[in-house]
Amino acid sequence: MTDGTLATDAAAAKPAPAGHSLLALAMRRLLRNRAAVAGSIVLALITLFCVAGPWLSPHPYDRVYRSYVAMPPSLELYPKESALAGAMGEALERARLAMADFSVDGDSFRVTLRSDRPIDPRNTRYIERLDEFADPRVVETLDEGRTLVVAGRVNRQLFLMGTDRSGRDLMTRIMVGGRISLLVGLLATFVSLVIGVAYGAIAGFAGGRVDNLMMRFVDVLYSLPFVFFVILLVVYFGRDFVLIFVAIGAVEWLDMARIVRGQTLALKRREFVQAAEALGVGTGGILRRHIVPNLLGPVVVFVTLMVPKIILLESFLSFLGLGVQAPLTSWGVLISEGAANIQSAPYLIIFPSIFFVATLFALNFIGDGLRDALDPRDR
Amino acid sequence: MLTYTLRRLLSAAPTLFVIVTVAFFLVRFAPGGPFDLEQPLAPQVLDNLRRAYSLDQPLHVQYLDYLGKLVRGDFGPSYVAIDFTVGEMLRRALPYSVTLGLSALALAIFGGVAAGVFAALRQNSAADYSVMTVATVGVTVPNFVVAPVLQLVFGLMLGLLPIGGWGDGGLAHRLMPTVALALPQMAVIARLTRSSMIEALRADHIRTLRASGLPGHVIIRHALKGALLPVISYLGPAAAALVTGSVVIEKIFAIPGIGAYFVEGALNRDYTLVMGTVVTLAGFVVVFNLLVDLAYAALDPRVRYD
Amino acid sequence: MSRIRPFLCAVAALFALTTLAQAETVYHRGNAGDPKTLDAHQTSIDVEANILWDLLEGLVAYDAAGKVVPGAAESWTMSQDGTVYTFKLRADGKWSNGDPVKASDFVFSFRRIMDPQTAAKYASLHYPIRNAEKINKYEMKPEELGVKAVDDLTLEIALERPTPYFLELLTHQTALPMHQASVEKFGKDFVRPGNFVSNGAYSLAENVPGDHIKVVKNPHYWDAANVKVDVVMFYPTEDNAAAVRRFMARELDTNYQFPIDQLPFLKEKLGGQVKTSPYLAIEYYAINNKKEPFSDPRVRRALAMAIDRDFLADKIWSGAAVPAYSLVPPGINGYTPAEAEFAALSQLDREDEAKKLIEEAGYGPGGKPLKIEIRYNTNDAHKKVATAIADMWKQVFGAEVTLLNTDIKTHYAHLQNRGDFDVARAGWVGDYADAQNFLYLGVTGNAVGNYSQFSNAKFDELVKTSDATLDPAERAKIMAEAEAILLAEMGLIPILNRTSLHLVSDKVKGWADNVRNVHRSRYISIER
Repeated sequence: MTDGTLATDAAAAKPAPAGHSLLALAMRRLLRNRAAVAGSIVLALITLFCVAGPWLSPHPYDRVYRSYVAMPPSLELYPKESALAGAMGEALERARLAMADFSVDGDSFRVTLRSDRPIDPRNTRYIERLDEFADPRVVETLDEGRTLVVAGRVNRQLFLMGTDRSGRDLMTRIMVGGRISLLVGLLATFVSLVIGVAYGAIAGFAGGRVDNLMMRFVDVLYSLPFVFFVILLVVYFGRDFVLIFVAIGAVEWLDMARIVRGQTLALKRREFVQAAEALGVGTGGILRRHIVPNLLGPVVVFVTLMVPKIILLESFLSFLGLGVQAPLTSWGVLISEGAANIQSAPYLIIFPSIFFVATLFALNFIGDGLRDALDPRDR
Repeated sequence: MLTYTLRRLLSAAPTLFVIVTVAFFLVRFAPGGPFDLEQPLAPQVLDNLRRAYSLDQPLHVQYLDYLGKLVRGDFGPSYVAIDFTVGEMLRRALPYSVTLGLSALALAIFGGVAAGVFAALRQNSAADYSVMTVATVGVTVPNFVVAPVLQLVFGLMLGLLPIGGWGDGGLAHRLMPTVALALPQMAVIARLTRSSMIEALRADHIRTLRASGLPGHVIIRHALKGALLPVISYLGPAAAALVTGSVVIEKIFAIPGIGAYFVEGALNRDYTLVMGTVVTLAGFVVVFNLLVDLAYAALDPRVRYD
Repeated sequence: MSRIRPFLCAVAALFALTTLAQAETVYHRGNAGDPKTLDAHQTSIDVEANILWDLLEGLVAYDAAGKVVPGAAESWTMSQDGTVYTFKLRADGKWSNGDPVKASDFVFSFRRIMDPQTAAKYASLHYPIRNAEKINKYEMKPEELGVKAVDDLTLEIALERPTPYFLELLTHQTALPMHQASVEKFGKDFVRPGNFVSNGAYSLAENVPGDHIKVVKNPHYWDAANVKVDVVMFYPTEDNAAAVRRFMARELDTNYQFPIDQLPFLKEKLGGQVKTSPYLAIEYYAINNKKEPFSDPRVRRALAMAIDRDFLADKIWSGAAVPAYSLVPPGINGYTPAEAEFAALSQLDREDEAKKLIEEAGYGPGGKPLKIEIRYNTNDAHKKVATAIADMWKQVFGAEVTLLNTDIKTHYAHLQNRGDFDVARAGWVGDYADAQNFLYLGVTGNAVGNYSQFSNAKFDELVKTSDATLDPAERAKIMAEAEAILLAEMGLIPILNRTSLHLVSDKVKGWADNVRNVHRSRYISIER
């Protein structure tokens, strides 16, 4: 954040030359920055993946597939052919029936059940219950009901990124987790933005004793052990994860306030603002034409760098077991669950980490790009 | 400078007072108490405990009592780790955390500045991009991922380093935790140094020096002096981030520092331990920020003590 | 001893020379957490017990297999009416400073734990001792406690009423003795290394919270000749995933607890070094008996039946737990737990029955919507179980299930303060091996442990009768009858019996699985 301030100090120093809008110039420069453009594309794709993905995914994020607990990622459909007979055998064992014959043909199966006593047709539910099979129906009854032939469909599912320790599709969970992580990142940033800008601008405009007092207060807050407060907030608001991040945003505005105050103070003294004042432009006009455009730069940079910070913080909380309420999830929760299984099921950490790191990378590149774009010395 | 230092230290007193007050009431209003255990206690026993720890007194009495003791340097007894007073626990744990934190800070500064300068001097080369990519990875990968990976690779696969514990406090035990803790901050510092170094190299006085044909390392030294300022002003936030990181790192590497007290204290509602940790850290932050400001002033002739 | 690391080669070689000369056996023991105290009267958790049982020995103790055997007392007798026990102490019993272990030490200890000023958390456990409860409530003086020293080696304990499980109770770590002189001299600081005087196989050498606790062999221990390990290092291996890595790198000889997720992986990697064995631990869901619709026993039974415990035990707990159909875990000598009647049915039949019950009660498809909130304390395993159960209830009768986790203090404070809830996760680990310790969870008067607020006069009556019944077989029958009532009403929903989780290196000998999950280092030997 500090480097953001520095760069934009200079930005504030030179007002936009006539004829070119500051924004248009910045935009042009930004588009020239390949890393930032790539970052934006990646971010857009991931956001789309997370927002739209759960609607397109065949698996609800909280659906527990009891047959597929901790399945490794695979391009092939589950169940694997080799596992079918075993799964059927297990189901029948629970029904206390013998499996006489079992065959799979394409997407349908046929199984012959045998017992010493007549078999209750209800027993097909043992088969239906399995995630591997669907629509079992009795096609033949032999031996006065002691032998049943059951046919049905093999239920094929795709788990591209495998399933987690509770038998839920990891990819869908990554999408839903991404929604939460991005949401809390944006939300907390927004809250800190609103408070920070308001506080900083007031302090900057008022100046003098008010400014002094307000900034002393910020200094006091800076000395608070932040982690401790976050933990307490979680204990208070544990019910509502979004609320926690609103609260975190309410604690994280200090940097923003400092930046905005500094900018405002500096801008107030600028010749072009004073000139505008002398020309009789009202406060509103000065704000709109001079202050806000010049504040925009540092604020935008702040935002892009704040979001990844919050997402990291969320993951830290998740590691401490203070994450979002199950069955909802977040990238932080997924990664910390993965970290516990790093030896036995590495894919559980690899996939969420890819999305997590890619997003943070993208945000950082965009932030850097924006900062450079808003830095006019490069011209 | 002395008066400035004294004034800053004096002005820390009200700051600490506010922190103590806020923290005291915050922990008290959290649901549950230190004696809500998985195996519940008989009501009579609970009464005895509350009496023994003066928890049966009105809250403002407890608060004044606590303040009074705190002023005399008494942090009170721990409610959960009852064999020790909070003062003892902090005194015992602090050296581990400080050792770990300072080595991580040193590593982050030296490693980060070196990498940043290296990248800045080769701006837009392949070396620059790879250093910056690694640095960005450092910022983005949580340290609770880095730490187990280090343990797996260097502890279990290569068998080079012990996986956990402080042992004799030797380098072997300290190496992995220090690196894991320093990595994210090292990455931030590298990025900071790079951008400010590039800026500094473009400055007029450096160009003049260059034009006058001074050797390269002299120019770098001059440029670095200015380029370090943003790094130094980042040290405050860096120290705070190290504190947060140590909570994770100390847990994973089983290091008996105060990182655990933070979380455990809050989760166990060990009121006095939480308060002790908060006060210690706040004091630490105040002193550290002062040091940073002094260092900043020493490097930047424009800053004066006013 | 320590593994030699390349760059420490020279140092290690020197070190090896010196250790060869001493050749002491060190046992590196991962203990899953830091003790909160070493004051036996303040202790409340298993990791404390593990250390205290090494340091101190009560009148009776556990052997390697978890059986009650003579400890500091070599024999005892019980009066006809079962209200007075007389213990004969060992003549060769000594404290680690050489003082003899005297009956007066035990008198001192029992008075101390009952003294309300000690504010001992588990004082209530010993309320069966005559006048104990009154003393703990400031109604009598500690001197009036029913424990007295007849002579140096004879201790007499009088009880309020016959207490059939009294010997089991004496194995608890809060019944361990204290050395009167040192406790009086050092006060609260008697637990410090250097001050701590112990009568067990080991004495305290170092205590570095968060890092290690070192205990060394006590030469004065009466059975010192048979103690094979010279030094035990207890490590508070809080992060158990990291502890597994330490164990695999052979930094630890044994470790208590590991992530259940990793059980299949660990079994594959470590084989027989992974020990899971049933112990007296029940995982159950408290269910709010005072709140609609859970006040209806049919709803409670339906919820209990719809839980596929086999799936939870095999898949979610990876086999580190077994399905529970009774409140009292199996494995208590002479007691056969009553089972919920649906235990005999197949899971399908249970679900059909559950659907029927819910319908009868007027809920579920066609009836009023069934909304259930499961509260649990933050923990990975609890989260997975709650997730799975929510899914089961959803699938069997379309219940709307939400989950709510809070940290452990909030969770239990909420339950103990009678906060509003539907269903809440709870667990109980037996303090001593007796069914009474579990049945107590359903007693009406139990203001704190009976989270479900189950209340049944007949059940209370039977528990009360059993407390006064001396004949073990008769008593077991009465308790089983009481348990059957609790289960028929489904006052709380038993889910799983946990197993104790240990990693035990091949080098460690003398380790025995047992239902009390007690593993005293004095029975362990280590082959290097």
